[in-house]
Amino acid sequence: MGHASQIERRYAVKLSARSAAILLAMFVFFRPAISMPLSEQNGRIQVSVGYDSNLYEDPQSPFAAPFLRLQYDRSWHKKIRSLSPAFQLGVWTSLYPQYTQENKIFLHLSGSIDRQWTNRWSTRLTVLARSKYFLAARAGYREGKAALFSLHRLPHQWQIEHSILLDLWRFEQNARYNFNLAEYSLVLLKPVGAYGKMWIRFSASRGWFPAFAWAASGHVTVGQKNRTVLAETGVRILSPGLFTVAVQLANNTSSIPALSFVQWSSQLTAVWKIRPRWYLRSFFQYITKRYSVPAETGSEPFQPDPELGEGNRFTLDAVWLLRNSLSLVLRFQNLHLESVFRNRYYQKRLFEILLEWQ
Amino acid sequence: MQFHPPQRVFASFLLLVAMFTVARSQELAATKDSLAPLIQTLEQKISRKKSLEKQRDRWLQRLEQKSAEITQQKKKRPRNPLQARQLEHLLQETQQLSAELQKLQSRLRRLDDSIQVVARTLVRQIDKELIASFRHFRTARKASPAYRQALQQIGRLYQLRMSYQGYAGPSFHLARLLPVHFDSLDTPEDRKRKRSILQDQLDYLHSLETALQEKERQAREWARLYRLSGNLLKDLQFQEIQDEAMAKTDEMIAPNRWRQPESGRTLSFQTPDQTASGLSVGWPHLTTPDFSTLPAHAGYILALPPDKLPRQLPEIQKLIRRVRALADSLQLLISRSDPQN
Repeated sequence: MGHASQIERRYAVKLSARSAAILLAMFVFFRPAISMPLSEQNGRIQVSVGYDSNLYEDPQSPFAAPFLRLQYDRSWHKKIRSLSPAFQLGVWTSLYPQYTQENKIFLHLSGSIDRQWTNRWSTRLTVLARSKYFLAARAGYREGKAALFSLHRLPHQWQIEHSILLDLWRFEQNARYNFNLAEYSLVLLKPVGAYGKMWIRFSASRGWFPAFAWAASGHVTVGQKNRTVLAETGVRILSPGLFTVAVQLANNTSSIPALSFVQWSSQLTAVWKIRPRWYLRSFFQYITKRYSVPAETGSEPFQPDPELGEGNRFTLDAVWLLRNSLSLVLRFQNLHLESVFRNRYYQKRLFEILLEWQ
Repeated sequence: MQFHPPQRVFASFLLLVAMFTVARSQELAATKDSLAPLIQTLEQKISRKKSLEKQRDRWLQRLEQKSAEITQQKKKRPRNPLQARQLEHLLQETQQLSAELQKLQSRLRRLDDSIQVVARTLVRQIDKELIASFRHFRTARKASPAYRQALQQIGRLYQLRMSYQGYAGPSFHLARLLPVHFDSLDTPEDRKRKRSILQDQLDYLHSLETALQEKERQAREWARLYRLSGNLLKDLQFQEIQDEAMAKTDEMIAPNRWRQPESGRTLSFQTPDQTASGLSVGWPHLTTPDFSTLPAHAGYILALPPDKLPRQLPEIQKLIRRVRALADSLQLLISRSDPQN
């Protein structure tokens, strides 16, 4: 959390009873499935130490600190005739020995069930719940998402995927940022050459912020409604490594004109082997966001969590496989993300050494 | 709405186009060898056939329209001279179109026949190269460039076979994987000849095993790449990258959501076990194992593109065990067929 006033507002409360109840309910919901004798299981434990150049995500005066991170995730998968249930559980904590108020935990629980109806049609239902909490303060959020996908195989190796998605966000420290999102998406996929795949995606979404208040030019607008249309195209090739490139254009029209924007985004994900047991992997995202009212910067936060900001990201990992299940990762990240204030960006660099056991 | 795509976004478009080109050129580069002229001819004929089929469909549609118009005209009574001329004109047009269509159909049939001929020639050529590649294993030193080249060549040849015949194997006629039967009436020359055939079969199986081991290595390597890529995206999702489409990531990272192989052919082995215990190994009546199902499965696996391999890893391992068992049986047979034993 970057803003000083927000930090002051926090008070030492552990996970609230309501949040604990939600997590317990999630666990109870997924527990029968988790205890099933599932055929494929994958677990991963990560321990890392690192250095964060901008602990509070402040656009003006960055404050550096070392951190310790622990991550555990596990997934289960089984195929029962035409049904394929899968579950995923993830816990991630970030600990700052010198600044304990920043200690936080992420929880992630998701389940999906695939059903192959015919040789050319399958569906998938996915439910996801995740949350972020600060351990020493009442801050964070919870997200619940449900999506239904329908995948059809077409002639000439084309695949078409329709999906509808409902996404709910609830913020711990300030309910005025709570929002709901509904999205329809269409993806067309096709193999390219022997080792490639390309896709085109279109989506339209609607977002509601019922209690959001925006003050500008002496006038306060309560409630926000967003309409976003998005087009994306991308390609993945498999040789000599695994490379994925995507370009995306999004147009967001908001009921608050100052929050309408057009955004271009390009992404590159790459993994390739450089030497025996040595791999490089990288994620690069470049975003150009242009607000329809460029001059107005806004004096109030337009969203509560600076880590949710969109912007440019560059991640480079050097992975050394010590054993088949154990690897050492050196990670560098450079982030240039929009802060809680509209059109104001902060810079953050992270250096990490990770030990990963899978 | 005004767009000002900056140069960097334009550059990413260029990168996207470049990646398309690379993916396509890899496919084309693979065909630049002795098979290239045949493949080119076949591709040209196939594309010519497609365009003729489109033309035929268009003409058929026109013929239907004309027929409908004729029916309409015939319904109109009494007919004035203008309508009668129109009807006659329509009938003439329809006749011409039918004649053209018949010519087109016969051209299509001839083209289809010539496609079959070229495809058969190509497949025969592929089989010859396959056998040559298998024999390369005998002479090439392991880990030498020639050895690696032969391995790559085998995978590619099986892929070509799959593309142009819809079926990757078998090539056992050329590998002389036909049953060899020893009996007491065999002359020493007969035995020598039969033993040489068995030795060829053994070489074939050893080569197949090596090629499959290479596929196993590739499968493990690709599984590792998928895992590394998936792990990075998982890590970044924890750090608030918006996962816009959960399924898309899954699809791109673990692309074998469809459990069945594309041809719908299952990879399980339905035939009875053909290990040494299943053989009649008592001299002088010895018969080689039945290879009839094995090369088809092996060919299918060897024809798989890399992104399909990780999911087939258990099947590849099963197949390797099976090929090894067959090779052991054959080795036993060769040693027992030696009159000095």
